[in-house]
Amino acid sequence: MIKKIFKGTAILALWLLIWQAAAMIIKDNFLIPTPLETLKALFVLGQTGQFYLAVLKSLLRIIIGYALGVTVGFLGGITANKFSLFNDITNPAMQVIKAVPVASFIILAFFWFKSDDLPIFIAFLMVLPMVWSATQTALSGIDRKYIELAKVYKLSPVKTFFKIKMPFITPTLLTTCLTALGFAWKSGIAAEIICRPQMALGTLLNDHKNYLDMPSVFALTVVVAVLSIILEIALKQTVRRVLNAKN
Amino acid sequence: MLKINNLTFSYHDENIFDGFSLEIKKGDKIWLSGPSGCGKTTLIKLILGLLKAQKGKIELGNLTPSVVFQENRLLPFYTVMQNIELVGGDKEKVKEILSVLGIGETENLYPSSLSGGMKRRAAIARALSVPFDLLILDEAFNGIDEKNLHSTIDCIKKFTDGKTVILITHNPEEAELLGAKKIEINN
Repeated sequence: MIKKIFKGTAILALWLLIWQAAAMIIKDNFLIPTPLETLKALFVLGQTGQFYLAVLKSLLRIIIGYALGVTVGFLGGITANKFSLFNDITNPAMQVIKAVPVASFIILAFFWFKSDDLPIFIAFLMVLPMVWSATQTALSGIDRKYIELAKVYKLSPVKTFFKIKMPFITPTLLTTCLTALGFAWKSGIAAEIICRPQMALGTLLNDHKNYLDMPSVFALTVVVAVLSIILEIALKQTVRRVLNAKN
Repeated sequence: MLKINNLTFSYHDENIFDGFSLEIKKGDKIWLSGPSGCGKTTLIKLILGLLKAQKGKIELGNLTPSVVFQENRLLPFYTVMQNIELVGGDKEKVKEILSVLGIGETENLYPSSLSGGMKRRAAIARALSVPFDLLILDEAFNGIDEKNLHSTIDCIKKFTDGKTVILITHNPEEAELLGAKKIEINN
């Protein structure tokens, strides 16, 4: 454990050194502020209540969008796997969502939603097709032989789903959900930068860019990255706890 | 009584059964014999309702089937006991059958840690642990060594007394040990 912490700290220190070296070579804190300047900017930001409120509201928006995307994607994937007509109808929509750049959706949805709700919609939209197709593919990949076994012993559809299908698809689904969380976070912040809702990390980023306050832009970017890592660790821990409780 | 009447089934334009009929009385033990690809496993799947015949009728009456498939079909994320309980096996009966089959120590083990023969016997234990009137054994003894074959068949005989058994095998010794009557299927 100590070895692991030491290794992690050493790698972090190495990257901070590379950052410091780059800043010293370029010698322009507008292009690359030093780690110390960024830390100072973070300290200043941390003294305002607005910063914490922005962090909380951004987290809330993106988690809502993510949870909606996972839920609808999971249910949609199950339905599409079960009913081929439903799959035929919904498949083009999923393909379009996957193909269209997130910025296009942000601009389009800018006119459909209030700026407070847009990041929720964008996070939802990024997660939806990922979870949808992962669920559908994982379900269709289950060996028919196990489903036949359930039929012979007259297991109810609910029991077949939760006791046979779910354990088969869970590893794929969890991996997809972890990947989707990163996408939801990045796209949600991007939506905030463009639509500028009140109290949002994206709005703060945009404001500080407009003030040409690059150390604060760097500091906020660090906050976004650290929050993304924390969210991913929290989700991993929750999943591990749920799986352990089940066993 | 199991009645198969005028059964017609074709797959990919190939006629597997054309007007096939068969009656198996309750308590009969029969051995379906025939060359590979003649449709023995297909017939089992039709009896179990896993395939649908184009014509004809299969009447199971009130016989409840249980089956040992050609493959073990043990779910990898459950222990042997959990696999059997999932399909309705009674815990005490499962313990008894596993013990009679000589794999009593495997109840809390996952399939991945069992040998091929042990997995096969676990699949047999599953089929015997649930309430049934008709036992279907499709190449059930493949992978079981000579030493354990006799005790496994003895165990099956013990738990199928008065029940209907359909056996598919290429090994006449297995049919003989089980006391099954031969029915030849050919094209």
